[in-house]
Amino acid sequence: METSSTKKKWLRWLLLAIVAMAVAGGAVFYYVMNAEFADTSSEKPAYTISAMDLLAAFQQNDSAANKKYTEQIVAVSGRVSAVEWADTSATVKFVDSLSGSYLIFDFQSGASRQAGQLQPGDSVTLKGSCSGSIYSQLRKAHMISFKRSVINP
Amino acid sequence: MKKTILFFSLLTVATLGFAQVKQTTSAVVAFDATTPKDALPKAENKTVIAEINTKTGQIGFEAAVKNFSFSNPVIQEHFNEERWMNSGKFPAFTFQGKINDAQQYNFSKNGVYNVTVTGQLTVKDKSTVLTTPATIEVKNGTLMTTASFTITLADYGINVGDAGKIAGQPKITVSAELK
Repeated sequence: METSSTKKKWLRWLLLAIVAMAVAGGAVFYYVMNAEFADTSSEKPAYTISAMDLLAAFQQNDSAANKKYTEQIVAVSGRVSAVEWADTSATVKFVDSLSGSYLIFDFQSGASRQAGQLQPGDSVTLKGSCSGSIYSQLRKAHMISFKRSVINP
Repeated sequence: MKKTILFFSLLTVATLGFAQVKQTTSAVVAFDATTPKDALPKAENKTVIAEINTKTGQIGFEAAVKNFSFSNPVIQEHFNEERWMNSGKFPAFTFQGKINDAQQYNFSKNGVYNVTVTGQLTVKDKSTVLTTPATIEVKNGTLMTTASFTITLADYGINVGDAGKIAGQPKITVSAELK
């Protein structure tokens, strides 16, 4: 009798543990699948650097700079060279006029309108997630791109 | 002297207005691999380099793979992983092509031109021939282009598995305003 009762208790605990694990697993899956990127405005930059210094870092050692800055939140200060429009959202560029290489920022939703009001020559600090560089065969220059950017106040 | 300066200024403006090579660094490429089972695998890249030579019809696009922006961090991470785009090793995708029978279109004249583009799409160092219809609207020297097509991920060595959560033939939409 005692053996049967102990068995039942163990089975009950086992069943509860399985249910608890399934619920926890489901909750983790739901959380991961519904997660969104944090608002860049509230993100602390891993690096703060001037546009020309960042361009120089990529031009001097592309692989080291990619390793250091890619997928990091970086605050970049400089003078706006151009504001372009991609569909209904703006992109902002800092261009090195000597090499033609440039940094380009696209903006997280809600930040694009403010960015679109920037003018060439404006001094500004932009903060975004660095996507690293590619060498453009079309433009014969480096492009370093950023996503989910905001204007840093 | 003033007349000469004015003449050359106007000539420069006119030449720039009808420059043969139109370009932008803010073309948009949207990637949509959603399925009824999963609405997350879609992204946009708004910093794509694009160039069209209106005389020869040559077209070029270049994009940084890592600048495709997803809403979900996990899906974005998967997209860049080795078994997917492997963006660490292959950081860019490119398209090099031509407007078919480009000489029959006068892109210096305002209007809407329905064209066909053929070229090589290179993803992960694998190139395939792509032919797609495209629309080019010319407005005062600016070209607004749109194209929409599907690609087969298996052609680029990308296996999406059997779970049905990622479309094996995602829809790609390209739009660009070239000046």
